[in-house]
Amino acid sequence: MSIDRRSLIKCGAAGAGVAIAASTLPALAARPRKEAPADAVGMLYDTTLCIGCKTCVVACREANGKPPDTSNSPGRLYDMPLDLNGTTKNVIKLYKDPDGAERSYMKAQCMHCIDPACVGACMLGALQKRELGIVTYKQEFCSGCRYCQMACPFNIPKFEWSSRAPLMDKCEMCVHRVVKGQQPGCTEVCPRKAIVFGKRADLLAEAKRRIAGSPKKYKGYRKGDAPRVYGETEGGGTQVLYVSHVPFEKLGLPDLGDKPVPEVAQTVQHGIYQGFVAPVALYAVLGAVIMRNKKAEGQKGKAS
Amino acid sequence: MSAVHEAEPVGGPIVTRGFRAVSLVLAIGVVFMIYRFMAGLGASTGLSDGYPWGIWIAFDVVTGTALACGGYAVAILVYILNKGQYHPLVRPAILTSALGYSLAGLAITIDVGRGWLLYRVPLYANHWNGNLWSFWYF
Repeated sequence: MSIDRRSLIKCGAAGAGVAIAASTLPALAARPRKEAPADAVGMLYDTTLCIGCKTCVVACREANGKPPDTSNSPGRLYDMPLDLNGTTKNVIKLYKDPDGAERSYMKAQCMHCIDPACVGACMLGALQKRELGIVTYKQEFCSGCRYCQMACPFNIPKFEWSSRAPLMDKCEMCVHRVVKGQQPGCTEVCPRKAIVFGKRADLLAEAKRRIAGSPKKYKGYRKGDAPRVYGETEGGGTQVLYVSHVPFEKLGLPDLGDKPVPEVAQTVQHGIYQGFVAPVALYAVLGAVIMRNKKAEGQKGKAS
Repeated sequence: MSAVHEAEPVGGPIVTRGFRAVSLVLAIGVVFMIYRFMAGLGASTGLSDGYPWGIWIAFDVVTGTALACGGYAVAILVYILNKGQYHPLVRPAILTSALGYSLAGLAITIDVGRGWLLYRVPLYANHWNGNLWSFWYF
């Protein structure tokens, strides 16, 4: 039994058809750039104002019912989170230049991206962008796969590594307080107003006003860059904004460019699986070839 | 000429030296599986927020499914390009794949924090998700 030329050509044509369909689909499904909702809220952190008192860390715990993290404190006396973790949604870190006097505090919490990579990565839709543009986490939908940790460009979602039935943990901008008209825990208590809460559009204007007021004081991504507001367009824009007197790269804020982080991956993914056409077509072609082979086989069996 | 060969028992003992060796590996695995449900994923796997997936996923999911995929690739070759002439290859290949994918699927339920929620994946999934598609291919 051999493959005759006709069937080979047929096979090839069908395969090529599927391949062309699969490769052109991504182009058809151009992904529109997402904009912040009109009522988007946000926070603005100004490193020049922060004195590192960590009141916001405590307030965050109280607002979210999270226990103190004493694991790094000698004698387990004090709340001393070294970074965000399974019980810490908000943390103040210190950056010290090894060879200079440059130093700055850095507040880390969810950036509430306008086009979040974690939401695209979340398999069961536990992470969702909801009211006011806040990226929320519904724990009852979470299977603990940690894909959000892989996806987040800011390393924000954290996992409960020592729990038997672990969940993720991340800042939700105190959405439970905000919907009641209150402020998030951290912004409410900040004695220097280094972190403030408000509408994203207002905060962006305020950040730009501060930079315009003292352009020498504020910095960009790297040394020598023009001062800018981090989060205005970074990774498609974030709802938490930063202005800083040390370059952003020193504070662990990556230069993401202005493209949304999940753009490429989602364009490909949505394209290939557009309406589930390509996989079904591929399997249909394979199935048809097998059926045809079997039929030819049956006829041959009868003839011999 | 029939391209399909009949299934027949292979014969021979089941408990061989290889079987015992693999069972030992399995037993060690079961111990750590129990430990994972007692002490959590951090203590049993050494994973952390810095390495949320690590070699653990790289080995059992990525390598495991890739190896198991070979069987299906052989089946496609035989059924589609070979028109079933090498059908004797198909049964062991499919068996290997079925076992490989089933075990990888089982391993995932221990990898993820709350494996018992995975039944929801086909029901409520976020339909444009890469992780989900890796699920489909099981």
